[in-house]
Order: sequence, then structure tokens, then C-alpha cells
Amino acid sequence: MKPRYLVLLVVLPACDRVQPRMEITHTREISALAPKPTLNATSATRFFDNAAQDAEQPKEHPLLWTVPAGWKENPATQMRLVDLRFGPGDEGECYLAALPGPAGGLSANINRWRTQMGLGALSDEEIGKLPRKPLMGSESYFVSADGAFQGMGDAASAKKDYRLLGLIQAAPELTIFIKMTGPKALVEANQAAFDTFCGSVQFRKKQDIPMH
Amino acid sequence: MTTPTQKSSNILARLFALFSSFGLATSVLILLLFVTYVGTLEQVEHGLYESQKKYFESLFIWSIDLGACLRAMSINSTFGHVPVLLPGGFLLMTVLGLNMVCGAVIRMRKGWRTAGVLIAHLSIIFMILAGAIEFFFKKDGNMPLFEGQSSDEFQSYHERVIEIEQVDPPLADGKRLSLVIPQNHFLDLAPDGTTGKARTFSHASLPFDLVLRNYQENCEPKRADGSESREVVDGYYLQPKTPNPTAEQNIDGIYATVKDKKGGAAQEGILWGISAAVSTQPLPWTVKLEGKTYAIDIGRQRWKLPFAVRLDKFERELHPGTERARKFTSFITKLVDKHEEKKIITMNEPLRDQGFVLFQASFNMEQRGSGAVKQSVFAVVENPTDHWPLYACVAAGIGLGLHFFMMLGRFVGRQRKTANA
Repeated sequence: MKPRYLVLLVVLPACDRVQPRMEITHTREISALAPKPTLNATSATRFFDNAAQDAEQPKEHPLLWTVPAGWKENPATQMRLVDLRFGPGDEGECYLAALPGPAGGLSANINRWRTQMGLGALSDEEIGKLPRKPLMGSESYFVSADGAFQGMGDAASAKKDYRLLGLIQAAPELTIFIKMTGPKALVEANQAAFDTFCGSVQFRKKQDIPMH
Repeated sequence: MTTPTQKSSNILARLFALFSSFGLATSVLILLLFVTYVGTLEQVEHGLYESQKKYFESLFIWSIDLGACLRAMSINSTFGHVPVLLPGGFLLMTVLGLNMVCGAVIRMRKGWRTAGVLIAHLSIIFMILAGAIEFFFKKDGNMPLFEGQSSDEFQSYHERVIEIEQVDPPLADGKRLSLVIPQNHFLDLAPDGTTGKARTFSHASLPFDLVLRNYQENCEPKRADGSESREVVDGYYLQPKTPNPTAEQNIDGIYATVKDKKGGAAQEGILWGISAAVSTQPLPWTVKLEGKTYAIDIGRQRWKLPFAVRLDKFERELHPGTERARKFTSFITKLVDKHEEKKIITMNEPLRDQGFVLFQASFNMEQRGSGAVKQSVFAVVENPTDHWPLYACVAAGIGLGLHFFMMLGRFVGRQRKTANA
């Protein structure tokens, strides 16, 4: 009898050996319900690099306004959302700023302006009697002050015979300031333009603001 | 003098004696106990997935992280990996299965007195077989769905793939097809210096070769500022991060180059796993060549279900006065062809259909516009042996119960004989 050998066959699985160059052999049918890929996305978008995405997108201002005739517009800055100039030598300026929350409070801001004009502070009672004007659909306090305008500087550098006109709208979420300063006569001549500008300021509608 | 036939018979007899021995069974069970203990300790720091691969799905264990094991037992330790050579869980279970067949079935005395034990042994072999089939054939993953969204695919928790899809022009039959590079073809392309190990992939239908290099298990693209030594592509480089013990939370990445087969300019890109994870808006790397547009991305392996699921509504109940979830419930519609069927999937009440099981796993809330959108996440399992362990346990219980009552009966009978004597 010939020896019978039980040959233990170790059947190795078809080894999927990796090599420097390989042919793609697997395919997959993608479901019709699977979302379509977004093509041509930039690396910033693909990697959720928000800062880079913002830099790629042109910024849309959240506000709309009308620049009065004869006034010039400067680029917006971090502090001044709208920055306008008027007068022969651009000595008149009018800007709009917004700060989150009460921004120190109505009284503090009004008296800060008065201090910049070299004037004394008003009491809360006197502030309460200040005239009101509409701004962006809500009531705001109107401030008018004549004096030596020192702005952020000191009294020695103050410009005499200046006038300040301003609107402050205080809300719990946001405080909006519109402040106009310049030589008294120039400001007086542009008061109507100031009123026109203040009346034209409004929020850009939501659907006009591109969603990122 | 023994003949070759006698020699081979002797060898086989010895092998059979070895594999059917009670001593082998005892040794294997002790080793299984040790491997289970050490693997459970090590998974505290290394994560369940890594420990499972190393201890329970391997043929051999080459090292033990002694420090991790001691720290898991609240013992301060600075020990690192200790080299060992131990059989892994897969090898041990294979030997145990063989031992059960040889010793507990073939070699065992068979008769009505051992019927119960035989049933119990067969049920254990059945359970081991269930484990082996599950190891080779089970698919599990998840399926996240927003309210109103439908899907008939689920994605693996761990298996990575790189896919190339020709998106423009679309295929003539309207179907979407992707070329798939499985993970075992690129996981080894770990960084090495600045360029890393590379591999070229080709397909007859593509006008380009895809060169992959510098795979990183967990990483994040960072904007380059010119000071980094790593490879920079389109102003970004992949910053490696420490792999997360919870392997599903790792986001991998790899560098890719598309080389025109006709010798044109190469295109460089980075594939990052998060893009494919954004389920409503995949963001692949777009490549254009010869008037065609391709989407290339790295993500999780996806499998198709024989039915689609639409999430109609998701409800979350909280324990009163707390933010702890009490119950998640998903109201879904199961879609097969054009037939719709309303179903409910909730905790401990999965949907079972055609070999697939959908469990309610978790949920997400995503802010969209002025509101939040709910997303339900289902765990999906395709396991051919889904209920086999249950059947095995029932059979073992029957076998042991049978044997117990038979032994009890014999004992009582002997006691009576002794009393009457």
C-alpha cells in the first residue's frame, strides 16, 4: 500500500501585497441618495479655515446710507463703520460707530462728548430733557455742543469755535453713535446734510447679506 | 522497524492526541484569561479599537504596554512596552475550536449518558464558529441622518478608503461610480522626512496616475507661514496630532499628486478626512484633466443597504429636571423600491431587515440659520451570525440542564438502592 500522506494544505489567502505601483481594482457604485460633492472648493473652504475664507470673500457692509452731496467718504475702519468728510479742507468730519452693549451708558457718553468740547457734564435730569430724533427707526438722543474741540487730545490742542452734533441710540445689545464735528459755521451750513445722512442710515436686509 | 505509513500514522495520532488533550484546553483557557485581562487594561489608554486589534484579532502578541496596564490599575508606572511572544486571541480561539472538535466531540465517549455534555460542547463550537464568521464577514458602521434626509448607505467606523469619482461629464447611464483604494494600500505610507513613502495608483479609465504619500492617522491642515519644514501644498501642510484612543475620532490625511499620463504638469493636493465627514456637503479635492473633472477624497468605507431610510422626525426625551437623555426615538420611513413603510427605531428596539440591524446610537444638533436641525445617528450592523450566540447559549443551557437532571436522577437512584439495601 502506498503511503497515504495527509498533506496539510495551508491555503494562504490571495495576498494583497502592496507594491510601489498598483492598479486600482475596487469600484463602488455611489448611491443616488448620496449628497453631490461641492466641486472647486478652495483649500481654505475644504479645511474650514474661516480666516482665510473671510479674506477671500468681499466684505458686505451691514449698513446702508446715503452720502450727502459734496461730502466725501473714507474707508471704514474697525472703530468707524462710516467715515465722512466735508468742507473745503475736509475739516468737517462725521462718522458712525457702534459698540456692543450699553458701551458705558448714555450719560457717560454724552458727557464724554461735552468734555471733548471743553464743556461741563450734564446731570441725568438734564440729559433726560435733551431733544430726541429718529435713527434707524428708533429714538436717539440729540446732542449739540459748541466749544473748543479737543477730541482725544488735550486742552492745549483744542480747536476753538467748533460745533459738535451727535446722535446716540442706546439699547441693551448695541449703542450706535453718529458724531459730527467741525468749525461752527461749517457745521451749521451742513446741518441739513447731517439730518439727511442720519435719516438715510438703515440696516442692510438679511437676504442681502451673503451667508458664508 | 516502523514503515513510513506507520510513521505518518504515529505523527497524526500524536497530533490528534495533542489537539484533543484536556491539558491543551486548560492551557488555552488560561492564556485567554491572561490576554483578556491585559487587553482590557491596555485599552484604557490605547483605546478599544487598538487593543482589540492587538490582543483579540491577532495571531501573536509581540509586546505588552506594561506601564499602561499598571496605570489602569491605579499604579504609577513609567514602564513602556515590554517585548513578549504570546499567542493572540485569534490563534487561541482557533486552537480552542480545534481542541473542542477533537477532544470534546470526536474523542469523547458517545452515549445517552453523555448526550447533554455533547450538546453543550457542540454549542460552544457553534459559538466559536459564529465568532470566526463574524470576524471575517461582519460589517458595522453608522448612518447619520438629518430630519428629512434619506440614505441607503452606511459608513464604516474605522475602515478608510480613498475614492476617485469622475463627476463631469457624468457617466452615460447616469450612475455614479467611484474607484476605491482600500486602506491596506496606503496606511503604510507614513511620513518619512519631508516627502515620505509614496505609492502610485493607476486605472485604465483615468488620464492620470495618483501618487499618495505621507499618510497621517490623525492630523489637521494648517496654513503655512514659511517657517515649517513639512511639505506645503496650496499654502497648507498637514500638522500631525496625537492619535485619539477613540479611533473613530481620528481625522486622517494624506498628500496626493495627480500626474498626467501624457506627461503634463502635475497637480498637488491634500486629502483630509473631515471633508467626507460633512455629510451634507462633501468637499473633495477637485482635479481637472483633459476636459474631465474628478473628485478625489479620503473617507470611510461605505456599504449599501438593500433599502433606504428617511428620517421623518427625531425626538429626545430627557430625565426630568436634567439634561441627561432618557430616550431617543427616530420616526423613519423604510423605502424599498417605491414601497414605503413607517417604522420606529428607539433605544433597545432596533430595526431588523434583510440581515441588517439599525440601532439608535446617538444624535447631533446642527445650527442652521436661525434654527437648529436634528440629526439622528444609527449604528448599522450586518452580521450573518447575529443571533448565533443566543442559539448557542440556549443549546448549551439545554445540554447542561439535560446532563444535570440525568446525573441527579442517577444520584437519587443510587441513594434509594443504598437505603433499601
